Amino acid sequence: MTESASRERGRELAQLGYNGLFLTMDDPLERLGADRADLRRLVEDADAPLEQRFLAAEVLFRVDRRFPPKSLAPELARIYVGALRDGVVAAANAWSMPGELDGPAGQHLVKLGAAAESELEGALADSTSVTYAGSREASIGNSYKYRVKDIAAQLLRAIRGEALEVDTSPTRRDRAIRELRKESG
Amino acid sequence: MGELEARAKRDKVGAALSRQSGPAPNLVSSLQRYAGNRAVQELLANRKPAVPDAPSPTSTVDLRSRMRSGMLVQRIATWGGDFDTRTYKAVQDGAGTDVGVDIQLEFKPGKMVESSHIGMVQMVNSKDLGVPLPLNATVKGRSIGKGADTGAHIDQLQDFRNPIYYTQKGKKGDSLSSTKSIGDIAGGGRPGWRHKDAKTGKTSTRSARLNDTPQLPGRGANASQVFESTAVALEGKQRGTYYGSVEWGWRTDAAGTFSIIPLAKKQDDAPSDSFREATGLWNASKTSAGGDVVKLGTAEGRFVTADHVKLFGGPTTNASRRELDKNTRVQTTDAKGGRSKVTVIDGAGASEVGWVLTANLAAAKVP
Repeated sequence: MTESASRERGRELAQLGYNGLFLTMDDPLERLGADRADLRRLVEDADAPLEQRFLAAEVLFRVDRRFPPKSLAPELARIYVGALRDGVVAAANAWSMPGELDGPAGQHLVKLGAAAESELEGALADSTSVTYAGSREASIGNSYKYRVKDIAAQLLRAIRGEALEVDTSPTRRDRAIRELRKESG
Repeated sequence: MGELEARAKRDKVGAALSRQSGPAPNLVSSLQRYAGNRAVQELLANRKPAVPDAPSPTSTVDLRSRMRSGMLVQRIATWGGDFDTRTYKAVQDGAGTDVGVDIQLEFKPGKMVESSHIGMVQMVNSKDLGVPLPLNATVKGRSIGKGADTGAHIDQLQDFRNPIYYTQKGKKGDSLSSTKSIGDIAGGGRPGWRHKDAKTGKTSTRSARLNDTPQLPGRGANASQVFESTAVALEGKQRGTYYGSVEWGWRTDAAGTFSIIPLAKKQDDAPSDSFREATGLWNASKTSAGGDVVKLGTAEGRFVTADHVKLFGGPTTNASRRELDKNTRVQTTDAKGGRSKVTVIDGAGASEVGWVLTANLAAAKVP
């Protein structure tokens, strides 16, 4: 386990990308998840690219039941919300469909619990559009005209155990998000 | 997706959804990686997102204006009727790159059809960089695992129960025809029918529709989304009968050049072998929440192997409705005790439904 090994693993993850790692018929996880220490080192490496840290965490969530330790939750929250805001995953499906908690990355972020709240609150003003991929998923998901702040609000509500109702109107969603921001102080 | 049910109620059938015109910078993943989100936002200011205008089923669009706009208008005749596109055009991401298509596919039942509820269902195979992309673990589990159509699957959301394209999430105990449509909107559609009223003798007809905007944001070279869409009788005497299938979609070549796949006939009556395989995988699968799916019947095209083959009224009755000629085309929709339930596709008994001895059927015409 060396720094160079974890950096090499990071480059490998970036080469495959989210699609190549998690969305193909092949399953590269068994091989990539073999050295969990390398992946863990990569997640904790503040100098490594955000995408690589995010992908390493996504692999660990899938191959290591004990991941993440509580101590890592605040840093993971920064990584995940950063990945959401920077569009590290081209399609928003990974974060969940509108009104659902069915995307793995979204589920993992919610799993971080209260440690992720402040990061998500910080994304409630981010109006960057997101796009869903697929066939019917894309047709339905994109009809909502979702933005980063809609996903952030949805995941925040999931962490707080609130209902995941979603409005079709971005204007009405903005109103609800303003209320959410007030509640968050 | 409980919201969809509520949305279906709120939205008038056929109402167009308005789309925002802001940027969709997450699609330009490489720029994001190297220059960050804000840079992409600035670059894409005033560009349209990868979301086309929603279906506008009530509007009448002149053929010439559709041609001028690059929209493909095609009509494909099958045994059961006509497949037609009311919209068929490319959609772009925020940077103006073609990443998918927008289609409103319609099936207009023809004179051979007798069904009070016709549904539309489709198989899709999405690929990027030449590799199938099933998009989530549930869909991966119900995708064809090997062969030329590796990755192909029945197109439905991971937590929806009903394979009929336009349906709501559904609930336990639903049948193929009982789950309501989300509406004739993006990602939706409507059932059709061609049905003779028993009392008045009048025939009522309505087209079935499917509205889809498939896309792969951030797609590269050798990407594609290829569909086989079909119409199937869910109720009425022809229940389980397929009315032909069409192929459509988009692809990029090795250089990343995008092209729309022209709407074309895939099968004249029963869908393809791959569609049947995907249906079997769907039927054996669960939703992402572990719920039972509504099973979809399969059908196969067959030929009668001899003259004077009896078309029975049931799987056990010996009363013959008529005799079928050698090489009459039939579609099998069920089998019991050595007999196959068939819908007659051509010849004197075309459109009739009955049972024949399975031994009198073959996959190819006989000399």
